[in-house]
Amino acid sequence: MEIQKTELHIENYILEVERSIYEPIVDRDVGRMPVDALKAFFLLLPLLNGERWNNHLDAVAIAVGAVHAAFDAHDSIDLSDATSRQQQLSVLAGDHFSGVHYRLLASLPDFGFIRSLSGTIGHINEMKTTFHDRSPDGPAQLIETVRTIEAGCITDFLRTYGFSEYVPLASAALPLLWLDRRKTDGNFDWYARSGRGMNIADADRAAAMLHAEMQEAVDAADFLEPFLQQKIRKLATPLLGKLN
Amino acid sequence: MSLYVDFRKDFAYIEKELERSVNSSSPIIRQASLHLLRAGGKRIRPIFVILASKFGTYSLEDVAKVAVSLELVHMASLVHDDVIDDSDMRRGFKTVKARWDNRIAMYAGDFIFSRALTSIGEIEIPAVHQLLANTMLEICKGEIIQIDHQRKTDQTIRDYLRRIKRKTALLLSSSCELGALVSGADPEIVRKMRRFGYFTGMAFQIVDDILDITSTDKELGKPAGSDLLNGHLTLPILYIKNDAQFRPYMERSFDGTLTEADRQAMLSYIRSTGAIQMAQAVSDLYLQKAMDELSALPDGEAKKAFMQITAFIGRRKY
Repeated sequence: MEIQKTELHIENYILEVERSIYEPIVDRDVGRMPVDALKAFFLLLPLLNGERWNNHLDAVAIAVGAVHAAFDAHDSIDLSDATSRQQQLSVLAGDHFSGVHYRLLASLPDFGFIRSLSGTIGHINEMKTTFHDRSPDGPAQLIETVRTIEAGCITDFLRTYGFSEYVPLASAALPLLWLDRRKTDGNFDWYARSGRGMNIADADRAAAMLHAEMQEAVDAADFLEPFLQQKIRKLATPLLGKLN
Repeated sequence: MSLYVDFRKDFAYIEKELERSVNSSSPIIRQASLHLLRAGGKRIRPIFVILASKFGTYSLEDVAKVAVSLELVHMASLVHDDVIDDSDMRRGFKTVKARWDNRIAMYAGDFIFSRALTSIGEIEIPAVHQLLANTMLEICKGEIIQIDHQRKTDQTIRDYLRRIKRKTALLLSSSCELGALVSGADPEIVRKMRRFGYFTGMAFQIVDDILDITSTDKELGKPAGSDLLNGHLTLPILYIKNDAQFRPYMERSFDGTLTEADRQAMLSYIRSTGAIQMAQAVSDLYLQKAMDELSALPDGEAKKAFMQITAFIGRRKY
């Protein structure tokens, strides 16, 4: 029952993000930008855990989803040639999604989060740029970088709205799951299509460190409903077999 | 321009704030942003914000936050446009995508955009944010439509005017409106500023599209006729798109088979048709409407400067 309710919340959220960022020409020629269900789960974790939630938080969460969609659109741009119609529209789709996030926050209006999230977005782009030319040096830098890029906006949201106790869960799980996807796909290119390989030994060490961090975070999360604790543990279970 | 001299102090402060706002821990982003800032540009949006603010209670600190934000939104969109158009040169300088690559251009553009929001985020006036957010979405919509219209020869002048409204006029209109709003100007002045910015922006883009045909490569800092080479039909082209002598040039521009000699011949031909004069007449009409809006505003240095700018836009050569 609780799990069904959780899934329903996430499905509704994904639909709302898709509806908010919808643009007919982009939709026709590029297709729908997939909304990451795992990111949605960690973003909505306080709601799923029964914390006090309201329409304001709903709108802000959708704004964060729009930012993630913008990142995904811009990460899909080819390094050297973006002249196809689909690539051109992907550049603009990302800009459109960015504009949607701002419009949502402006409509509330939430000035504090406009400032805070814009700082986070800036920092994420700095990280992406810094490590575009060279892969992070060692597992600690790899973790820090992936954590910022994958979990930065979500942890910003959690901290801003008084859900700081959920931050350790999101900031351990999201980079861990990113590394896992890379391993599953056999794609060790450092950030999307950069063509630069990630050091596999570093990636394994980083995953092991994050796994330990996540176990610790789940163990400490006694405020979390048991079914959510279990779900988070389950998310990490398939990784255990892959770690050295 | 003399008006930049008249407001030199304010302008210098805004330039400093622009540089400060794009300071970054990433050396590449820092270089890319400063490279863009130093490539110059007319800074027409910041000057519009300054001047419009003079009709209310002027605070340079607040004005700078809005002006910086608008210039950064404009800069970010240029960086992404260069990726879309695969442009290697802008204003005589290598573009970010040419100097680094498309991905760096995407990140740099997104970074600059984020700093635009950081800057304007300090202004806690809901109407300011709602206006800027809607403007940004409309600009983007205009660009999406431009891609959709690319190489389509069945578009009309009405389509073109709608497109440039979103592409250029709205940001200038919003620059004026935001300047007036942030200084708490009278609502009637805010309305007049919005309309003035819109008419001026329409004229500005039409002149820009004319200059793409009448200027030299050196003056433009990129090949003349780039709009057509990128598949964009501008106002002069719409006037002659069915001209039997011009049509083969247009088709070769679109399929990428236009030679350098063809390009030069095409530009000469367009200049000889009268299309430039017809487009200029439309621009003049918009400028006249802009002047009409100004006439009802209180006299003073801001009104005088706006009039100078309007006159400059009509006769600018760059």
